[in-house]
Amino acid sequence: MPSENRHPFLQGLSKHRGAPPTVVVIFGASGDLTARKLVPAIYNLALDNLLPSDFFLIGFGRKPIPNNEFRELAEESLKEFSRREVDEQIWGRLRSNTCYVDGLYDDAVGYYKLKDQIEAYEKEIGRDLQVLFYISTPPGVFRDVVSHLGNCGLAAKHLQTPLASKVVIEKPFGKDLESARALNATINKHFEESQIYRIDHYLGKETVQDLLVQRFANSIFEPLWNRNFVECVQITVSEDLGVGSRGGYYDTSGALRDMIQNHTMQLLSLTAMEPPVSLDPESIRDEKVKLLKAIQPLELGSKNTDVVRARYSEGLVGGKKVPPYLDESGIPDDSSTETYAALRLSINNWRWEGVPFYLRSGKRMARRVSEIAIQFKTPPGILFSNNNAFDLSANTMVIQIQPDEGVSLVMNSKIPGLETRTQPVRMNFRYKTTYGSNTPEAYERLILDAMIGDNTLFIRGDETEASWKIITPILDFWKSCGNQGMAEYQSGSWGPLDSDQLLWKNNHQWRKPGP
Amino acid sequence: MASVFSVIPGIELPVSEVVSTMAKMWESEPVKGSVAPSEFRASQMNLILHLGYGTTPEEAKDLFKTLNEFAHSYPSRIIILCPTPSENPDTLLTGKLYSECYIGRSRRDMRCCEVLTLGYDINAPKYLENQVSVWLESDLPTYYWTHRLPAERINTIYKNFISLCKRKVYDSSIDGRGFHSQLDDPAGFRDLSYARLLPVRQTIGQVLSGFEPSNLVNQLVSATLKCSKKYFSEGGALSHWIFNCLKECAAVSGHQLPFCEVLVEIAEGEGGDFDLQFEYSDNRSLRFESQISSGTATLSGCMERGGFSYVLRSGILSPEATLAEAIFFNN
Repeated sequence: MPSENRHPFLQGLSKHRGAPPTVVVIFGASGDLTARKLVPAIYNLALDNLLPSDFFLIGFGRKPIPNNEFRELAEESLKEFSRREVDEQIWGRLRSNTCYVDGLYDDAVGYYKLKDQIEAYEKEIGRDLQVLFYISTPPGVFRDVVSHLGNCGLAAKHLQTPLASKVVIEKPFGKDLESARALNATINKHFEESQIYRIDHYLGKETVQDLLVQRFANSIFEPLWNRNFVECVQITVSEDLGVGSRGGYYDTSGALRDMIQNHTMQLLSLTAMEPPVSLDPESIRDEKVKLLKAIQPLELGSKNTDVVRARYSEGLVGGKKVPPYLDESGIPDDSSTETYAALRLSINNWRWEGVPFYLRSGKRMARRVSEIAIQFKTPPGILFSNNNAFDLSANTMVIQIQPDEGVSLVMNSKIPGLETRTQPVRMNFRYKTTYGSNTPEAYERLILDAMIGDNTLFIRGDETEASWKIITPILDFWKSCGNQGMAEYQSGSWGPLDSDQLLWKNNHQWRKPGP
Repeated sequence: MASVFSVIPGIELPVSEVVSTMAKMWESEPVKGSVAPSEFRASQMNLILHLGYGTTPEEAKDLFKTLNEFAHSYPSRIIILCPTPSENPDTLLTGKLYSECYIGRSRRDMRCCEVLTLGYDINAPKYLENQVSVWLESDLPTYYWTHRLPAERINTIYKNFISLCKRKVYDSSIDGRGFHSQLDDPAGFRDLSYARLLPVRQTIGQVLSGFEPSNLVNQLVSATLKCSKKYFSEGGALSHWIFNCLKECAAVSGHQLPFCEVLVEIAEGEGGDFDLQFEYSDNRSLRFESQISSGTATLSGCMERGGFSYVLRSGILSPEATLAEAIFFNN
């Protein structure tokens, strides 16, 4: 084979244009994620001619749905959620290669029906197909699905060949360290780690991928990316929405599990990890794991606590009055679930010794925003800081992930005039204005990556366990406290006072990210 | 007949005033509650389109349209160099300024681009380099697109000027298949005809990569490509790629190809735009037929596992996507 083991007829084509013949099987096919994200992502890949010429889509679910009806549902979801118009010809071809198989997740019968359907497709085209299983079911049935795929031989299909089956798993990857280990053990029993793609859609976002480029392709940032120049790092993942109709599920999860353990920890590890030796998936994932392992155990329950939890009370969001968490539908009166969590982390390594990393995530906050803010140390006050005429700010680099993906840098400048007065100004780079907004959705990139076998943007088993190792002691502690220590914050605010106090100890303040 | 310079949209003004006028243009204050256009002026690159003397006004309009649509996705400072016979010996350069803000789905989804057109006397090209340098966005990469400019002029008069550009593109369907070989330094030049056929190469590549390389070349006697007159130049680029793929298949499987090129012929009569046939000395066969206007192709034949026939999607890229492919991605 030529270099990179690619087929000669793929030369001159980027790796993303060489997906092998594939059948994607979506478990949880009648669910919200399938309609909103997965089907539109697959269709948009087809529109860009990025799907292999032999491509099939099978929906799998408990509800019996005739093929035609499933195709209709898929078409409706495209019309509603696709980022681009539906092209009849493209959709027509995809539609004719789409079908539905019903079965119970804990019953082998459905899996054998699925196996027959895949083999029928292979027979139809006279070629082997790679099977990509996308598990988008409630977490309670993950293990059933994986076990049955293993038992009926689908997990090992074409193993040791380039067409080996792959499995994509949506979060949550467990609900604590113990369950994450058990889930990994079940998956690893049937699939090799190289076949497993744990998806966190944040990693498919352009700015998150750009983080590595910003850090390692610009010589001006990396020399400053350490304890000598960085004062603190703040990572915010906030939403202005409440729990809505997901109250029942959310109350069993909470902000720490739902957002901090996965999205926020991923952002942290990409921000703080050491440079990988290369951009191959394992090198990057090795560095992320090393970083997570370097996080110091958290102080819990004392006056010097490193964690804060809270739940939203009544307030105004977008000018409208919204109810408190405990009045939302599906929330029990004695709920002790947090809708907001903030952490102060210390990283015990040469680069970050003494630099606090602040993480926060919550619902019903002032704005929907995800960002990483690197606050640099303020310059020595010899020249400008000894007089109140000078308003010196710390230089801050903000990597904004949503909305309006981009990067900005705050620096001090002189206000024009005869007197010397300073003011912080912001330099902005926005993806939309520079590159246009019609960039692929995160799910498009991630599904295509899984099809071509690139797992750089997916989470390895030991990463999930390293992350749960940090989070589980907090969960255990909170569980032991019940509602004791649960703060409240007004809906539409930036969080509770306790969370502000977490930063005051170090003379820091939470940012209030504006539009 | 209208001149090329006159059909390119924009406001004509002395070249000395272009930069200052452009700066003023972006100074506009925002209307209350909106955002000033200056916030959306975010060029990521310079793109120079250098028109040759043989360019027709119709071509110029089409090229302008392509550039404009390209800039919707890749906001650029575009400079069009346009040979214009000078009636006044003291005015060898004339300028034109055009700007546009493209509004997408939301207020924040807006991108602005600028097009500066420089009419220059073909007999006085020595001023071109300096004038263009004044108009480029500093520190951003510069790309160059030549259209109907003789290779000989590129090798001599514009050599230094072009060497500063990151990547250069031409179109062999316009400039001729021999254009590339006439260049003194062809390394950075990319052919739009090759880029245009990316979907066709991808379709062929995705299907043929499903066969073992040795199966594709074992007992292969010949490979021929018939193409319509309209796509003859693209056919040349495609045949070159197919030959390289087959050569690589032979190399990795220890075979030798009994031919040293994929023959390209113009198809007679009504047929598809591309008809690629592999002929084997045994009873195997492979045929790819594509009709660009219908956006479909058929791959049929008989290989080890028996006969097959697939209907596939296969078209060509739009002009602006072709330009992006050639500039950014094309290897």
